Amino acid sequence: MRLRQLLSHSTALFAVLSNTGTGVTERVYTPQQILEEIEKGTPIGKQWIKAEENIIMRFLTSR
Amino acid sequence: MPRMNTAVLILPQMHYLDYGSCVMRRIASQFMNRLTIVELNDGDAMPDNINAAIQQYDPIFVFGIGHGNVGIYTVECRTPYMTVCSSTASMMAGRVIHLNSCLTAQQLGRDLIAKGATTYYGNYEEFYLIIGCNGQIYSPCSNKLVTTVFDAEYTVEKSLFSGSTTGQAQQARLKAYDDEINYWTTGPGANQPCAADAVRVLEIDKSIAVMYGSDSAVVATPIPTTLPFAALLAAVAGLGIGVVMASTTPTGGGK
Repeated sequence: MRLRQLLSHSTALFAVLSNTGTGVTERVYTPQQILEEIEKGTPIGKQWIKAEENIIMRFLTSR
Repeated sequence: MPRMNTAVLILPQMHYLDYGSCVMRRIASQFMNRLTIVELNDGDAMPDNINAAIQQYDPIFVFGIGHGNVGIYTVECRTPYMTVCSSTASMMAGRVIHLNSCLTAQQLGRDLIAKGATTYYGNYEEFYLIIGCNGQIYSPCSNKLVTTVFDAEYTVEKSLFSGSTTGQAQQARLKAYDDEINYWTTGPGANQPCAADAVRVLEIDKSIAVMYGSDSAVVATPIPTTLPFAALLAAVAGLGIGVVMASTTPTGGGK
């Protein structure tokens, strides 16, 4: 939920260093596209959810 | 036997790679007086040039940024350079390798170690960077937002070039990610636009920052921290220092 809120208000533009084959367009993501990856449960989406869990743990352990 | 204090850096430009390459060039410039550092920039970062540089300089350390996948690392214009089970992978035997390239840790990194590379640093899943914020695309190295992930990731080079072991460099790398996260959460970057995005991206990149192989290898002579004291001693004692050193050198004859 928190991640959805963050991404829905985000204005960042992300890129990745992956190569899925020749002729593939640039791998650039808007926050909206990251949200879609999360909704679909793709590996990209799972990465973001795991990162959010890590951030929450980091916040809790720092208290 | 690869040469100590020698590094080849593969620094392509296209497809957003200059965002990392420009950070690495800055780091390399700080060590040019200590190491032989060969930069293959932009259009020079192509397979033939890379192979020629490795054969000519026989570096102990090779760094490359590029778009990758589980079994492939590509260079300028996404030209394939190294794949699993290729002869190019075999060329990395005896060297410490850092591939800042998505997913390569899953297969290619393991293959490099299997083929004799001393140590491999890489990224297990997608490696993210931020290229813009507030509807603007920023130029490479133009602000902290676009350099933050590379400032952390390339702590490997800052550490290794200073003489740290490969294991120490990995620890420094992970700590640098934490430091960057702190910068955006409680530090000077906390209230800047896209700070929360930077934290997420750093958290992802930290979680996929892996190292395989030896944790005790070194690529550069350590920076002598006691040099001023030693220099002072040498000035005062003159030849005496040589006598002391000679007396502590083990001599043969016992075996």
